Amino acid sequence: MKILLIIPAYNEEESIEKVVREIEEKCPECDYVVVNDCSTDHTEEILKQKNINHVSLSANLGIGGAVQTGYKYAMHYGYDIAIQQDGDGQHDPAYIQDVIQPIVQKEADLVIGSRFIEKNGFQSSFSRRAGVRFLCGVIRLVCGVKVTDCTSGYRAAGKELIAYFSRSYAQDYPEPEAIVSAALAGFKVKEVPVIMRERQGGVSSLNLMKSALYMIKVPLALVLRRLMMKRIRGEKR
Amino acid sequence: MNPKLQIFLILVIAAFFVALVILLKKKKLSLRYTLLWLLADLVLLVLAIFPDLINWFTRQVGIVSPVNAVFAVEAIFVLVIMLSLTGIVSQENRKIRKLAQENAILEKRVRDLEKLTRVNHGLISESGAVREGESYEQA
Repeated sequence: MKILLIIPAYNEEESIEKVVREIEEKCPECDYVVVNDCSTDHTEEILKQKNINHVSLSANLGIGGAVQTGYKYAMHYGYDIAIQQDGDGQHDPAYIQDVIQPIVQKEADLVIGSRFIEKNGFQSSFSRRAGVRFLCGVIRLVCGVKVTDCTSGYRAAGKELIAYFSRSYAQDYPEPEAIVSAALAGFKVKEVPVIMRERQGGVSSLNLMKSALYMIKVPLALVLRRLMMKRIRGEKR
Repeated sequence: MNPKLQIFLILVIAAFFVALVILLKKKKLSLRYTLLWLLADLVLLVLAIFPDLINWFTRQVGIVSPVNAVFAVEAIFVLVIMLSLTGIVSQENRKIRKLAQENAILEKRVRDLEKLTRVNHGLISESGAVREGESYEQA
C-alpha cells in the first residue's frame, strides 16, 4: 500500500526540515511531499539544499490550493492513501498509523485526527475551542457528520477521496468545508484521537481580524455547500 | 426631458462608444467581455434619442423626475457589469490555480528526469561522457 504525506508549507524555514526528518525517522515506509506555496522566506532553498522531496507552486494559492496540489500529486503517482500534515510541527507523525487504520480497514474514506476526543496535549486557546465547537455544530447541521476537531489539518484520505479532492477542493480556509463536501459526496468520515503539540516555528495564519472573518465566512461556505450539492446517501459520488 | 440634457447625453454616449471601439481595435479589450458595455451603450442611446420611452418608464416605476430614471437604468447596467466581472475574476482564479498546480507537478517531474539523466550518463558513459568532458576542456 502506497502512502503519501502531504505537507503544505508557507514560510516554514524554521521548522520544515525538522518536520521532514521526524517523518523519515518515525514513518520510514511512507513517502512525503512538501508543497511549497510560493514562500517568501528561505523555505525553497532549504528544500533544495537538504534534498527534501517537494513541489513548488509558482504563485501563492493559499492552504487549500497547496493541499489540493498534494492530492493531485498523490493522484498522479498512484498513492492509495494521502495524509495531510501541517508544516509547522504541530502534528506528530507517531499517529500516522492511527489515522490510516480506518482507511485500511475500509471503515472510512476521510479520517480526521482530533485533539478534543481524549483532550490530551496542546488544546489551543479558549476562544479557538469555542469557535471550533460552533463550526462542528454547523457541520453536523448541514451534513449530519459528528466531528469534534473540524479545523484539524491532520487527516487522511483513501484512494477514491484522493481522486475527488484532486478534482475539487475547498479554498481559503478549507478544513471544515472539505469535511462537508466529502460527506455530501457520499464519503464516510471518521475521527480518531491524536495529541498535538504547539507549533515549533512560524506564525499562525489566523489573527483577531482574520478569526472574526473566518467565523463569518466558513459557516456561510458550509451552508452554501449544502445548497450546492445534493446529498448522496451510501454510495460514492 | 430637457433638450439640453438630451444632447449632452447623446454626446457622452457617442464619446463612450468611440472609446470602446478604439480600445477594441487596439485589442486592449476583448469583444467577449465588451458586449455588455456595448449593449448598455445602445440602450442608453435609444433612451436619449426617444425621450418618450424614458418618460413612460418613469411613470411606470413611480420615479418623479425622468433624469433619475436615466440614472436608474445606468446604475442597473453598472451592477450587471460588475457582477459579470466578479464572475470572470472567479473563473480566471480557478484557471490560474489549476495552471500553477499542474505546473508545480510538471516542474518536479522535470527535475527528477534531469537528475535521472545525469545518473544514467554517469553509469553508462565511462567512454562517452568523459570524452565529451575532455573535448569541452580542449575547446
